[in-house]
This record gives sequence, C-alpha cells and structure tokens, in this order.
Amino acid sequence: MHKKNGRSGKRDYSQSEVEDALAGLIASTKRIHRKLNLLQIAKKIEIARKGLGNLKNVSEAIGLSTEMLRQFTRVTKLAPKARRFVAKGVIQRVDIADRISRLPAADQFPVAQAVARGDLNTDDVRAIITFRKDQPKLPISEVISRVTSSRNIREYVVQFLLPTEEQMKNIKDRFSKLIGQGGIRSVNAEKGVGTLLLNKDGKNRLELIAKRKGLTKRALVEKVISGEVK
Amino acid sequence: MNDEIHEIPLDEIIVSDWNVRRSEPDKDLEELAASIAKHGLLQPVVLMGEHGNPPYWLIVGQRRFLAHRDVLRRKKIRAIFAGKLNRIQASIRSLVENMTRTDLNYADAAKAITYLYRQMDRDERKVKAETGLSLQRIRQYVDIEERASPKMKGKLRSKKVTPIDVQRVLRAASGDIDKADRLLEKMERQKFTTYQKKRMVEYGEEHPHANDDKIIEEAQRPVVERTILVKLSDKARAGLEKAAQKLAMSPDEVAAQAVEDWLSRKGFISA
Repeated sequence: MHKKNGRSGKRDYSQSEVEDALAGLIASTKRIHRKLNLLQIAKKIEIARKGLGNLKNVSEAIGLSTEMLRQFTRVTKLAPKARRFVAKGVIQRVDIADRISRLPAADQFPVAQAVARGDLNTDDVRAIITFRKDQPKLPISEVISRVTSSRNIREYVVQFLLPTEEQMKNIKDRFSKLIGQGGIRSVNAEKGVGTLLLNKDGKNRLELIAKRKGLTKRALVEKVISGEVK
Repeated sequence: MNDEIHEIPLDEIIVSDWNVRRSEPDKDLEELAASIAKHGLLQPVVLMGEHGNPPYWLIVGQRRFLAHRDVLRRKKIRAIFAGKLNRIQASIRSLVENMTRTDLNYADAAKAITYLYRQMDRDERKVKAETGLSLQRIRQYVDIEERASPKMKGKLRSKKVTPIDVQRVLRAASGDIDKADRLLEKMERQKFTTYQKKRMVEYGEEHPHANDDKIIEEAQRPVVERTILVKLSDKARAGLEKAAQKLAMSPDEVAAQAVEDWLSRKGFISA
C-alpha cells in the first residue's frame, strides 16, 4: 500500500492511510476528551500533510486553522523526557505542550513535571516562558517558584442555605472528612446562609470526588450538606 | 522600480535620512563584511535617483553599504534603482525591506511606522495596506512612539525592555511619564513576573494618584480571586457546556462572562 520515498527515506502514505488520519484528526482535535494523545495527533497531521501536500489543505479538510495544526505538530519538538508526559496522556492540553516546547530543552522536564502534578496551569507556563526570557541565568526551579509564588490566590466559594435542623459543626466535619482539613480555608454561617471557602487543593479534591460519583461539584456539595454523602 | 543591477561608485551614494534604520547601523559590521567578502553581495542595495545622474540616495541596505565602504574599502557596490519616490514612498520601501529582517530595532520601526501613520491621516488601515503589518502591531508601535519617554525608547533600542512592558508602565502611570519611567526601573530591578506586572497595571489604573512605590508594593501583593460555585439546572449546565465548546472557552469563563453581562444589563454593576 505504501512505498519508501527514495530520496528522503521517509514514507509516502496510501489514500486510505491519509483518510484514516483525517478521520482521526476530526474525531480528536475538536473535543476536549480525546482518544488520541497529542503525539498521535501530531503523527496523523504529518500523514495528512504528506497526503494532501501542505498544512493549508489539511486545515481545509478538517476545519481547523493552520496555526492550531502547527501547535499540535510542535509537540514533537519537546525534549524526550518531557515528551513522555504527553505520550502517557498526562499532559493533554495542546497549548500547554506547545508552550513547554518553546522552553530550553533542559527546562522542559521540570516544567512538564510540575504541570503533570497539577502545580502549574496554562497561564503559569506562559508566565514561566516570559520570566525565563528575562532571567536566563536563574535555575529553572527558582523560575517556577518565583512565578507560582507571585500568582493570585485562588479561592472557591460555596454558599448554601443552612438546613434548619442541621448544626454548622456537623456540616463542617463532613466536609473535612470528605476533602481533608487542608483543603478548607473556612466554613461560616450567618443569617441562615453557610459559606464554605476552599483553596485550590480543596476544590481539586471536591472535583475529583464529584467526578468519581458522577456528580457536579455543586451537586456533591448539596449532598454533603444534606448528609446524603458523609 | 527597475530590477537591473548596476555597479555604483560608493562616493556617489548618500545615506538618505529616509532610511528607517537609525540605531547601530555599524553593529556587527565586521561579520557582515566577512560574509560579503566570502560569498559576495547577495542582495543589491536600493537607491533613489536616476541612474547616470548622481548623487543617489540610499534607502535600503545601509549596513551593506557601510561594510563595503568602511571595512572592505571597496570602491563600488551592486545596486538597483527604486526610481523617483516621495518621502512616504521611500519610508514604506525602507520599512518593508527592513521589517522582513529580524534585526530592525523596535524603536526605529516605531518611529518609521508612526511617521507613516501621521502622513496617512492617522489612518492605521492605510498603514496596514502599505506595510502588511497587523492593526494591533501598528497600534502598539504608534502608542509607544507617541507616549514613551526618551529613556524608555533607549531601553527598547538596547533591548533591555520589551514593548509590552513599556506599554504596561505607561498604562500603570496613567499618563505621568516620570512615574512611568520610575515604574519601569523598579519593575526591572525587582524582576517582576507576568502576574506582578499585570497587578501593577490594574492597581495603577484603578489608583491614578498612587505613587510609584505604592503601585510596586501592591503589584507584589497577591490578590485573592474567588470563584463561586453555583447550582445550575441540567438545562443551563448543558447550555454552558455547549457554549464552552463552541466558544473554545472553559465553562467557568463562559459562566463568569454570562453573569457579568446579566448584572451589567440589569444595572447591578457599572459597565
């Protein structure tokens, strides 16, 4: 079905391989939850590009901008150790992978590792790239630390009507048991309205448990308040 | 424009004031001369005037000209003629040629683009049509050329600061140019991250009478951002997810925008 290209030594692809690649791209580039990891998508883009001649044709065939396609292909430029996080699907966001690929090779792994741990988001990675350009001599750990310690503090607020028969202390205990005391900044009640303040860890923990139970975060909170989830 | 290449004596050429490259024309001249000596002059310089009727004005290729004259000590240079151009046309030609190269200084580009902008009735679309630059980029160049202090332009020339940072301090200083200069210096000294720079702008714009020390102090203080978890019906949640997919935004961003729009329309917050 396919033959070797004599001059470059690289493969040419058959019509069906190109069509498969295009179908895979349509299925995987337009949704957040993808079946393929970013490296597999980059490979399919390469097959489609060869089959259709250039990225513009691929862009027209699947309805995705050439800039977006380039962003996917830049994932292959990641240093090998950082690429592993993408291959394993730990880093799934193309904008993050693309940004990491723009860092010096030696910086990529520590940043990818911090992203994989959930310590850095897209804005943080962007800030790290800018700060790194300004401060090329600082160790990367220092760059990461300076950026993360300078970001705004995120808090997550849940307000709810206090059930008349329920004591605030019981609600607080149930939340502490569920997401851990470390994730809760405060729990207060005033004029029949309870306010639960979570930090980022608390919010992440709440999100994870809600996902496991097939609930939204807010629905999980309601169930904790009512005592249905303990 | 005539593409015919001529060998022109260097002493018949004058570097035109209309050449957009003003900063460090002799930077790395030795390297350029070595390259010309080895490979020849690959790209002829561009002259204004009528061939056979010197002197001619050089509008593109100042460094190549200087390498020939001052380092290689040559007598002639390969050149093409751009024909008769007025100052605007010459500036456009010089700018476009130089903008395609990465080493044109930001401050020089800003000066040239602002000149065109002023000559073209302050119409950025006309500048875009002539130069091919995006409107956003043209606005940035003009903004910096018209508002930045000489000190800031100097730092841009020496690449000590970025254009975005200059715009940031100008915004944070609310039009006070001395305050903007001091903010830029302090921002550099403190090695601000993007987050701190953003807070500096936010605080400066919200508090136009705050002095530079106060703005810098507040910029270093993290702000608490609160996200409120609200209960939504299944219908609203499905709509939110659909909007997030379509607009390529996170559901949180869509929800925040929707709430803000509603509150603004109902008069609960000022627009």
